[in-house]
Amino acid sequence: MLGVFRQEIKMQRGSWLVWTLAVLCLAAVYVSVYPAFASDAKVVTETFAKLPQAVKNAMGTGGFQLLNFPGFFANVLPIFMLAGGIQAANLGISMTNRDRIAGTSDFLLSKPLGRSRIFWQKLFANLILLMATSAALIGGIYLGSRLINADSFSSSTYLMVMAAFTFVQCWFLAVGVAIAQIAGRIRNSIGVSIALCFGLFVLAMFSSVVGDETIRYLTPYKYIDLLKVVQEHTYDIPHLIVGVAVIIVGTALGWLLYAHRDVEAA
Amino acid sequence: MNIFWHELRSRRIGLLAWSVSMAVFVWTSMVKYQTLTVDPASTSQLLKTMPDTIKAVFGMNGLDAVTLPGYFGICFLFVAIMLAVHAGLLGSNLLTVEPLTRTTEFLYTRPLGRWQILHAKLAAGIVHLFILWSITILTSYLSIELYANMDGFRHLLLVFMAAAAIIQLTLFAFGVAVAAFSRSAQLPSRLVAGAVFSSYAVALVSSTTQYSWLRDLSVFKAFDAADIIHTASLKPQYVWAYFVLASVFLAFGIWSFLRRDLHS
Repeated sequence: MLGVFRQEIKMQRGSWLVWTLAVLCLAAVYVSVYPAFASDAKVVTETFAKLPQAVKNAMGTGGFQLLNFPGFFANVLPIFMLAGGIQAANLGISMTNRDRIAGTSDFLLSKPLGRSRIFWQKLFANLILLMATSAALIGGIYLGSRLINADSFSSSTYLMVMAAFTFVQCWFLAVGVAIAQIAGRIRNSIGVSIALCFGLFVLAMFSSVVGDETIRYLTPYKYIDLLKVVQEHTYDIPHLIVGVAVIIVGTALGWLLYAHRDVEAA
Repeated sequence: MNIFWHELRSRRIGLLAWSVSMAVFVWTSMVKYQTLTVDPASTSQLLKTMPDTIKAVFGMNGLDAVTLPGYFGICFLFVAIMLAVHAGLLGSNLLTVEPLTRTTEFLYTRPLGRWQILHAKLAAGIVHLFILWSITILTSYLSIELYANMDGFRHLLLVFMAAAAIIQLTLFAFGVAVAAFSRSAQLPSRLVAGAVFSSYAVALVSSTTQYSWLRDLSVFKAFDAADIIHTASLKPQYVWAYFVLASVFLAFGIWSFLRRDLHS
């Protein structure tokens, strides 16, 4: 029944383990930085409290809401999203590309299963792997915050921040699936994933330097404004809609092309 | 010479894509510089009062985005990352392209020694590195002339680009070394990705006081934009260290590629 699903998980579990461990190690490093950050934050908040009211109004207080645990991770999450994005894009591209490179397409497609069934089983398997990475990261950081006795924080804000990681992963999975179908044979799938993810990442960092709202639409790392989530507890709906639309279109495109294409024999 | 020309030709589309994206990035960033209107006094005042850990986490890296060197310094990190990814993937792909396309038997049965093939490939790779580097410095120069003021920045731009060249060479040599050594054709580009990514992560993490001892491990931190602007030069110990490192990688790559079994 779920043979393709199981096989897909089996093929990717090694690389899944490496990526998940790498992301968790990075998380451990950042969690261990947090106590120093928190004590510095305390000093800043105390200095700020002593300032006259007029100065406080002039400076604005928005930034000070960022001095808690979710705020800390909202600031450092982009590097996690970069790693998660590369993992997801690579899974998405190699999902259908692997068979064409290895010349196992005819083996797979001669099974008594429709193309669509194969496609969705593969996609579902890769989605499960990505969700497992997300869950490990979100749970791991939460556990870390308990271990270092971080001040209490709102878990819904924390989850809203971390959801950006899951979202970026889904986005790159869908885009990767579409790219693999549009581009034909991709010899170097990780190379394409890296170029894609780093390129969009550079664009995202650049858009925060110049504060441009239009560039934000082009890069998934910026669909969710993390700092705004911590300060105002909201997502930007238009950006979110664009992101979800790309996910749906990418997946649909990948599926339709996969279901209708001519397959070259090995 | 045929192999040299073939390598140059077969990679020209990729190089074109890299060059165009690099040029567009550098150009748009300078167009944006023109429109940056921040009140310089109040921001820098606020920056000075912040403790180090907070500055590091909030990505304030001692660079003042309102001045040309500071702004270019921020963009330089991204330029360096792009150059590093290109160089690393190029270095590894030069040697893994035959196993990936199953043309090993075709190429390595030509009446040429393996060293002749290898040095034609490496030369083609270095020409590509140099072309992308030239595009970067040229578009930087032109867009700064167009949208900002070049006065007093010429020397600094050259220092930045010298750092970029060292980063390119290091990653290229790393790519060659892992591709020559690894038996898998897929693994080398993954290792290159891992190296660039972890180097960037280390550069970020080592800005915090707690992990500043990690700074020597990251090529991006070794040629940190804030340091470059501060001293208007590269730290000689890092220049030497990465030069030696690149030579060791390259020598090891050549040594192991000339001795390995090739299979497709």
